[in-house]
Amino acid sequence: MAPERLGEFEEFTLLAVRALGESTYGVPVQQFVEQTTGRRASIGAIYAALDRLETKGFVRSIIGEPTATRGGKRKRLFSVTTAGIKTATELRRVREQIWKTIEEAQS
Amino acid sequence: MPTVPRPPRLGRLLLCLCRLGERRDDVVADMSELFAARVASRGVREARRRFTHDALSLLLPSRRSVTSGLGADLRDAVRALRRTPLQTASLFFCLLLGTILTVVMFTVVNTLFAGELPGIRDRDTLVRLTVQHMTANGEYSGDRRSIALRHYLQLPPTLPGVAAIAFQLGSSATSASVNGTPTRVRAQIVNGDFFIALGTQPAIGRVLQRSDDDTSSPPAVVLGYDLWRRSFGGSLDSIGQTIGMGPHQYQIVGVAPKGFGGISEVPSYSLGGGAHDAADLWMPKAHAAWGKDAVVLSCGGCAGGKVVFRLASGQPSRAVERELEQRFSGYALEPFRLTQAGTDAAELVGGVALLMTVPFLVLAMACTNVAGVQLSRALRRTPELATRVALGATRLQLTRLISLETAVLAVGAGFGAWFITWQALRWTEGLLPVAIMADWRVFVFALVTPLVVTLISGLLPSWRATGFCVLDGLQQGAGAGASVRVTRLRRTVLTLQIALSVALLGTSLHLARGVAAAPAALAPPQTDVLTASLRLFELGFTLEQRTAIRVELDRTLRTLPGVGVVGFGEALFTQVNSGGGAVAHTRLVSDEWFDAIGHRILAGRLPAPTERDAIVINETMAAQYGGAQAAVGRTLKAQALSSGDGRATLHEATVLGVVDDGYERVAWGHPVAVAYATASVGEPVDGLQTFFLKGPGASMAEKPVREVLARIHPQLAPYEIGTIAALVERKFAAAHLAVTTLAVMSVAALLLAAVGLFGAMSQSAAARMREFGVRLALGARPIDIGRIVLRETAWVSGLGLLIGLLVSTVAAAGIRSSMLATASPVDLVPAAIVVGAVGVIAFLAALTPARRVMAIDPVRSLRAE
Repeated sequence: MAPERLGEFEEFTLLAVRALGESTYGVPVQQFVEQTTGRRASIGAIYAALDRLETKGFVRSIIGEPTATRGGKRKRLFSVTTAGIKTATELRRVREQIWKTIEEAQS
Repeated sequence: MPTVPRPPRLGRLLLCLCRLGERRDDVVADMSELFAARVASRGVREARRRFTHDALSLLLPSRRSVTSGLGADLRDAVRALRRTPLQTASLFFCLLLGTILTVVMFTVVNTLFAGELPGIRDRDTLVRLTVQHMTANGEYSGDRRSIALRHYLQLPPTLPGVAAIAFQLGSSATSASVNGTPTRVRAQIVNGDFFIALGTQPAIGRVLQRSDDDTSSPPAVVLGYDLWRRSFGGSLDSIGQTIGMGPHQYQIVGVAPKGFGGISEVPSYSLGGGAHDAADLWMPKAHAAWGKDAVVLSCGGCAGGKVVFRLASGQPSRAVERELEQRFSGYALEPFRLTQAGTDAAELVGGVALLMTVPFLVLAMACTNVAGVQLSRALRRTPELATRVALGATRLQLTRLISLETAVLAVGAGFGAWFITWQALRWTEGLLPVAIMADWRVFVFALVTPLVVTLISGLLPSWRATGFCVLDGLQQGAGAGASVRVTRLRRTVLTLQIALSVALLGTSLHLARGVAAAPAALAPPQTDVLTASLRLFELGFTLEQRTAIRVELDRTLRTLPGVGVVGFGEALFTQVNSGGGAVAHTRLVSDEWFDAIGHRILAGRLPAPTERDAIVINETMAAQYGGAQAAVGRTLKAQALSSGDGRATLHEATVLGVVDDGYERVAWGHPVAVAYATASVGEPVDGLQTFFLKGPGASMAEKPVREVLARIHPQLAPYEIGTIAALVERKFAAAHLAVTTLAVMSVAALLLAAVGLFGAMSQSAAARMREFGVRLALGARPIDIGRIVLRETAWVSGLGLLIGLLVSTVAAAGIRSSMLATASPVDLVPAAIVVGAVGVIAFLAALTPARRVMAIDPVRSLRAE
């Protein structure tokens, strides 16, 4: 079975979940992606990306406990799976290797 | 107290429309939290704008734009169709059925009225010579296209600017010995350049050449394709064999291409009504001077023919015009517009329109089915469409988005119809009386038809469905409110559909019963009487030889097994005139004639063989004298009741008896006044001989009769042969074909109406689920709910049935008065069949929706809303 691939936006979302630590949810992820990339990201796009990542097995979600700050509404909490960490690490390694090759070529 | 900023109304509406399922609570909470954060960081206005955008991104999760391009719309349309495979299949079936019928009928019409003439090349450079004829009064009149032989002979062999001249001297039905078998053939007498001028390439062998039209050259003939297949089985060995016609043996030099019919104005096909209309062979005029054609060719060149010029360029040169001016007064060169239907297309516009009306009506029914369903689907999408409008989409873009679904179906149906028609023509090649061709016009028609279908059943409902107020559309739940409009519109359309299909079916049933009854009304279905007609004068026999042949035939035919009575009659070319204005055809008959045919004596008696000054007339003639009884005993002052050689002269004759029309209706196809005088078998023979064989073995006697004729002369073939019942059936072959075609269209229309009825009832029931749930909750029984659906179906179909029956009754009355006087004035059978068919269809269409609503769980249906 071919390894699941990640699109650019999915990669940003995965890294955002990883960066925000365990049990983050849609709003912080959306704000993090917007702040770090400088691009507008709708909440719908974030949910779509999170759904795809979950389908691919890179993140998992659980329904949290109700909190008073959201009028008693529950949050959907996301965390990165081992496969997600492995894929993100692999992407980073590939990129670094490419940059290293570029720098060697320029020097 | 400051007002707390709230998310925008539009955004909240969009959020309500999102299908979020169990995630709704946490997503709504996220959106609210995000909105509050944005208000704090970027202000209310920006936060509200972003909220709406986020809500939209949730509603339309794919990356498509709200006003996407044509390609994206096309993908959407295909996806939407795939989501409802059953509905898509039924819509495609409707469109395919309607389009196939339209394309097939167009193919037939195109072939007959506009298609290429088989075997004739480059019609654009052909022109027809016409000449005005001067009457005794000094006025021009008559058939301009008929060029007398003497006029043709005035033309020089070559004309400047004219590549070749084709001349065809009409056609002549005669008997011939083809491959050893006496055969009736229709020969066309042509000049040597005939085929060269028309650009005809032979199927095998060669065409006639100028040298063949020389009395010193051996007689040559080109066979027609059908005769070649019929008599020689398509054998290549036929080239070089001979055909006996009259005193000559004609050598077969080639075979004309399939479907080639020369430049005759008769149709290139025969449906059985008129035997041998199409040409069977072509022979040069130099070798046609025998038998009847000898008279034709030797009458001072009075015989009429047709002249066609093949121009070297597209336009006739001035030099040609000068040549023609010197020879003919009132000449003209007309474009060559001949079609397979036999006459100019311009004169047949009415017939073509009539032929195409019914399939177009069926296609229109298919369109209304599609339009109804598409309107419902579009109205269910009102909230989504309103969202698109709110975000900048124009009404035109939305209309395009929706109508593309219909366009996809219509284009598929168009290609499917063209392919099926093309395949069907390949399978039926050789089985049809005319070579039907699916040329480029058919292909273009099959492509244009989907555009028309899309316009009718796609654009109009889409335009109507997108005419909403944005906020109303957004507030409206999916599908709610749409049902009222849809139901009313579809109910009207359905009623019209059923009315149309009932009218078509009722009319075709009336026609079918009329055509079925017509042969019996024309003549009793006699299968024990065989008739064989002979034209002895065509074969160049002398008077003595013709008489001897009749005596021999009379003797031999009586010896055939199972034949009890043999009568003969001779139709003369002259007419009897009573002096009082009544005119009748004349027939010299043997005393057994009346017995053999089974004529009923209506008044008086039959004359004895020795009573030569007495005649019998038929009921049609007697009607001119006030009826059968009044006619008996009258003395008719006949101007002539004789043949061309002056025998059997009868100046005065007394009417001894009156018989029914009987066979005369079969022979003429309609009531004709006929006077009969008796003759014995040994009297001189001049006119058309008709023999009647009566007895239990008569129906099997065709082959023995042909053998007897062949023994007498190798070219002697009957002009017409068959039992009276078979001859009558043959006369109605075209009517049977027309009725069958109409019946197929009617059944297709009824099928489409059934599909439409089922779809409309299912949608109507689905739209009223909440109402039915409330009724059940209030104590209604499931059977009561089912009855509502059945009642609605019965109302729609009943109204359509009533309108359709009225239309078909009026149409049937018109048919009775104009075409089929034989049909029963009050015929309730078609109406009964139509009522039964519509009843069954309505019941089946309502059954499934009724069962569905009867199984409603009121709690679930109310919760679903």
